[in-house]
Amino acid sequence: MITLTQIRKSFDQKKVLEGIDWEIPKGSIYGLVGPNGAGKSTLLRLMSGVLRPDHGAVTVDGQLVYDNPAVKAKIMFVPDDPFFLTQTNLKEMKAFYKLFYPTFNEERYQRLLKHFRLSETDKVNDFSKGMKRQASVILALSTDPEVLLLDEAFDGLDPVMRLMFKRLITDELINREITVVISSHNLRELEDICDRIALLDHRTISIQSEIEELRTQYHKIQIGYTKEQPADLFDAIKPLHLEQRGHVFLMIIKGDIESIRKNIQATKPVLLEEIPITMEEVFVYEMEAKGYGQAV
Amino acid sequence: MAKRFNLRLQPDYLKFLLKRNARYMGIMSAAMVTLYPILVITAKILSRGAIDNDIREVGVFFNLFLLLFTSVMIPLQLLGYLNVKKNLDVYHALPIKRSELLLTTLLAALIVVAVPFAIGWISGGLITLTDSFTFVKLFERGFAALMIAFAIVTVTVFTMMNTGTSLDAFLYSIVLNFLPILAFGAYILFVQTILLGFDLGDLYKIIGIIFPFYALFESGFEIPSRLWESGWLNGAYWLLIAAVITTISSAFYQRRKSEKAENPFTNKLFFPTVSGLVISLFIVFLYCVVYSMNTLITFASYYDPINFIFPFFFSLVLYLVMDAIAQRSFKHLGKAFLNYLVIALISFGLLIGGLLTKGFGYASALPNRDNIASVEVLINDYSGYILNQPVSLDYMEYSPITPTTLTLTSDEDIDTILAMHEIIVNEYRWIEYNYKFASTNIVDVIESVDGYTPSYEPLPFDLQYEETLTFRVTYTMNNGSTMSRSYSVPVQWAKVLTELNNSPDALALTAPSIANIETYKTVYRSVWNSADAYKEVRASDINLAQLRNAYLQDLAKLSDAAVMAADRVYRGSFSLTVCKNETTCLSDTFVLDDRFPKTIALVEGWAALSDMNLERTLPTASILILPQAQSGFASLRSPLFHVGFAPERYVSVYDMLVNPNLTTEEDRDMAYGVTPFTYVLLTPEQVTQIQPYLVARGHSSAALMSLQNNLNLGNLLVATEYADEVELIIAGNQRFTATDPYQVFENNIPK
Repeated sequence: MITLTQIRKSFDQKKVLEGIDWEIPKGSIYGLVGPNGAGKSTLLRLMSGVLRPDHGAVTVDGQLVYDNPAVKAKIMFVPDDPFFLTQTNLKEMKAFYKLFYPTFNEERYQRLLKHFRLSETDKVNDFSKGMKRQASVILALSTDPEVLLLDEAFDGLDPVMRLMFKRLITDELINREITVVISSHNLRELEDICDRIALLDHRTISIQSEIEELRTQYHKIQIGYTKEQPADLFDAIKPLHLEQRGHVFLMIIKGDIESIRKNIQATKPVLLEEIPITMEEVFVYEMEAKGYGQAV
Repeated sequence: MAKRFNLRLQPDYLKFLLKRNARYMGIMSAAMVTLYPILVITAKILSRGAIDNDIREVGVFFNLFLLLFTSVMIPLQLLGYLNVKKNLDVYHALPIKRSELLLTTLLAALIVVAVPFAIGWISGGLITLTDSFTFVKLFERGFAALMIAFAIVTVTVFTMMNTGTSLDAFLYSIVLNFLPILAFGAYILFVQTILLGFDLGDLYKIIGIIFPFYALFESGFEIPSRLWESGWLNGAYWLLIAAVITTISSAFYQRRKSEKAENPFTNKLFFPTVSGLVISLFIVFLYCVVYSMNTLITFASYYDPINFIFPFFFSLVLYLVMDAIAQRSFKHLGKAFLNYLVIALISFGLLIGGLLTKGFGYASALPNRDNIASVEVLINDYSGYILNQPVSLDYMEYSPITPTTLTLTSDEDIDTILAMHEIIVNEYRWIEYNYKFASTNIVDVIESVDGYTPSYEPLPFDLQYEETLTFRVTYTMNNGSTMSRSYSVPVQWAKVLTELNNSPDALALTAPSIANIETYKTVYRSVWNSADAYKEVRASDINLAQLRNAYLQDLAKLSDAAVMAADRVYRGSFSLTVCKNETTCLSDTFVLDDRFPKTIALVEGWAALSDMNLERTLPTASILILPQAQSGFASLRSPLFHVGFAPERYVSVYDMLVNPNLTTEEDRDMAYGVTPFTYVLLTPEQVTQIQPYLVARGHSSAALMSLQNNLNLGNLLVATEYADEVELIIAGNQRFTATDPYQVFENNIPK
């Protein structure tokens, strides 16, 4: 289990993370979402030991991560901008990783290399952005990590590769109890693969939950009336989002659905219909409720 | 220690790094071999001769230059990941402790630096071995050079722990390498310009231990002035420095913020600290330069505003440039200006504080007499007025006086030295210890100060020109601490030092041949030359210990006043050459007058045993220069041929003979004035008659006649009390007048 306790991190005077308490159960695939500049990458760097928290502790199975090789050997961090040695090829990068990760799985490496159709001897410099991303994922997965931290994992991958990548992670989860944290803006992608999601906002994690649980908490409801209704009709039940189109309202709301239904029924609608909600909508309207993007 | 490092190193990663840099090592090795052994061999073949040492040194220089280059650049390359955020995302996520990563990479850098150098150095060295450049020396110097290179590598590494880009790391590693020498330069300039009495001593030797770039080149060559002659010791010192810097760097690495990579500085205190130091040092440095160029000669010249203007503006521009580079922008100039004002305020504050307090009390400090255990003093009395040092009686034979450091332990001698020191401090107090006056006629300047009262007893004669002596003193206190001062002192102040002439501890100066008879124990030759005898004394008859005792007993009876008196009678000279081995000897001449009865008796006794008479030749040409009636000048010291001319004619014949600028009579007249002086030519018989009335040296309030001739009996003065007798002897001689002493000697005393 990865545990973050009261994490605080500032860059000079700018506070980036504050009071982060987060637990990531072993074997889970956690999606980390948040607006631009929320600190998602910083949080992953803290978890991988690249950065040192100003306050608090990041532990894996109770052991501190920062400057602790024993713990870091279990973690593989794939940053959003992959690193390769200068004028190198995958063969040399493999040798580099093998130095530090005794668990490096040659068989898996060869299999993945074949899978992604990358040449081991070509200069990485000549790779496209997507190929570099594939190369970094191949190397990361070949180290047999117990914890895989992926920053903007799907950036630069074409749809086929995304699918292939998701399958790989799922296979890892099936074959061994790997813990994965993926940060991404693409909630649709996370929705497909993650079983849990965390929302990083205003320097702290405002939501951390299983996806299914979130789906039961957030509701998208369409309500119709025979005549026009005042705009403040639903103020009392505090919807996250409310759109009025003539006699019809579209509402995103958080809470117990029975209680919500009861309150809406009291307004005597002619139509009351619950529509499936996506995680992207949850993220967007939750953020909107917190004021994000309203100025635009 | 080795075990500790073994534990911290990652051998596989080390091998990986070396493999990746193998090509670089190959190219650098080729460059070093080309520019050293191949260059030397080519030169040898072309010249068809032996290996030229100059070419060898060119090869050494190239190798050291490449070593310097590689020492700065390689750590920038191997630790370059520190300056790129995406690289850090991988390196700092690796399961390796930061300290291990640093030490392994550092070791790889050292090997990459060392291997090409070792190949070039050893291959070049082996083909250029000579009797003086031996196999051992080859390795000794190579070891020292490599250790210095390692220290330079660690300076770059330390800089990288504080900076976030390769450009800043490079720039500031150069700055850090130069910072100690800048500090040293500012310090030396400040203390030499401002601090009266500062004793520089051998401080310049520490350049080789504070400035690695210089030390690197120094290590490869035969430099006699280095602090440690041993290359092993020199190398060990730099290895220690490298170890200390590495330890500090490792600690800094633990705290280095990865998120600050790609910013100029990862340590927010680094730029303020380094720039503040650089600016402060430049302010002091430039102030001293401007002050020393300032021709304003007043007591307040320290505080002349012009001294501060250039340092202020220069350091301001320098700081703004440094800040603009650090910020990568000119938008910060307003804040930078305010920062500069703070630095300048502190620097100028300390500088002015140092000036007002005369080096925080340094210039006016005197040791407490009760705390002084012993004194080491070096007095370089160029003029010979003060110290009774061995002299040559031959006016053409000029032997520069070699100053000797004396260790004085008697209360009387320590009091003498302290009294001299007090005089210096008391005199300089009248001009606020302004050392700048040392280059002017300081005695006149001080005497012109209202209310001035001298703190010294003057010499019994005036000096037309400013004559100085060097007075360098080191007090050793009872608690073992030391206090050193060095001054250039007007001779007028130094009469008190004449008291040293009868000190047993000053024998090394006044009679060096018997000062150290345990070492210089073999008599090589001795000659006694008096009015009655001129003979060589048998070495086997001479007992140096007896001679020393007799001389010391005579000295002990001399009062301080009598020690440099001119009213005495010359009895003869005893020339003595003593040796400590076959090649190292020293010669000394005891000019003995009637104040040394025991010494004369002893020498005459030995001379009586000798039948090795020498043939005395009377001088065929002698002149007697008469003192000018109108002159109050009476500086009468013959050995260097300073004669009793009128003040404006005071001149050293030796100076005239060797001064190439004074080639014409007009030049000499311009230089020495045109006041005529009077002389007579003597017959050999008259010289014999005058001889008993001569004295070798002494202080006199009256001008004395001066005798010169073409034998080694010249350069003598007529003793004060026998002036009338000599006047009687030369009463019938024709008086000649001349304005050019050079011509007189040239025409009348051919050698």
